[in-house]
Amino acid sequence: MQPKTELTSRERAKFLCDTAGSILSIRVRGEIDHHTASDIRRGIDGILFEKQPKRLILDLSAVSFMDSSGLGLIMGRYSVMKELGGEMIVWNPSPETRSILTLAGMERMVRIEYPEGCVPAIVPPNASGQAVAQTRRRTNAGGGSGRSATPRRKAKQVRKEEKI
Amino acid sequence: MSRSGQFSKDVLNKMRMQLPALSVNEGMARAAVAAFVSQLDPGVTEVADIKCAVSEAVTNAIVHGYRDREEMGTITVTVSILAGRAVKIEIKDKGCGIPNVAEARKPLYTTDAAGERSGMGFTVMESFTDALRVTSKVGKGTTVVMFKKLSERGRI
Repeated sequence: MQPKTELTSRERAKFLCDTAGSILSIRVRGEIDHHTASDIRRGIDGILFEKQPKRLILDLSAVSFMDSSGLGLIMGRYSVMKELGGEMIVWNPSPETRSILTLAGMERMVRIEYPEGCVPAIVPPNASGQAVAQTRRRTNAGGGSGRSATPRRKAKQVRKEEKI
Repeated sequence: MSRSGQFSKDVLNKMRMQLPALSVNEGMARAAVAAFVSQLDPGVTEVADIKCAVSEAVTNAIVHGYRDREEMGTITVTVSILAGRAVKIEIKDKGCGIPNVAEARKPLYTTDAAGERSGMGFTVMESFTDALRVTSKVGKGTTVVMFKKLSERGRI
């Protein structure tokens, strides 16, 4: 699932895509706003209609900023995937994107998944890290869901980031 | 509707910038506001909230305010540091205006569904700040004023 091809690049955002069978994974890097979203949208839709994947994994782990244009982008791709008879997963959204995803109630519409053991708690600002630690314990105790297709390395990296 | 009354009228510092209503400037607008606010040593989440709220307001001005303009519109962003660790951000355009502000502020309301706008702009501004005031006049323009109180971080 490591990204291979760079498809588009603008000043503030770019995305990388990788296909494995009927799974298309797209990793967005940088800032998603009204300006960059239209570019990303065009790029992704081009690939979607060409490859017709059964599953789209939209990796938001490297997104440093996202406003409501990102919500439109996610919902739009969700509709396209539905049209193509496939499904979409939002993978490992970065801390910068989580509050707006939560605000929009995105988890009720789209599947949002995190690497094993890295499910973040919704922590209000200035709260202690306790809630995060508890969630981590809980998910670890639950054992492997077996659904994660991401290399261990990536999960480790994210875990390290969370500790800081 | 607005809780802006609870904020101090004393302005400690003020920055005003004018930018052409081009989407390419959205990133600069929020970055500049974040940089100006950084003198208060805000928390990471507070900066993220402010950036997002500014981005929504500036985007609204570009996408909606100046949507039918032939000539280039101008957006004026004024940021004030208020006494008591508060920030006031005013984003003003001289665009088409909003006929019904109350309706426009409702979640998921959008006049541009084809453009994949989520209709969450005002909801985001309202949620990520402490007070939001929207004044608009059809044919004259729209002014969005947001207030945010910062936590007492770093003063313990």
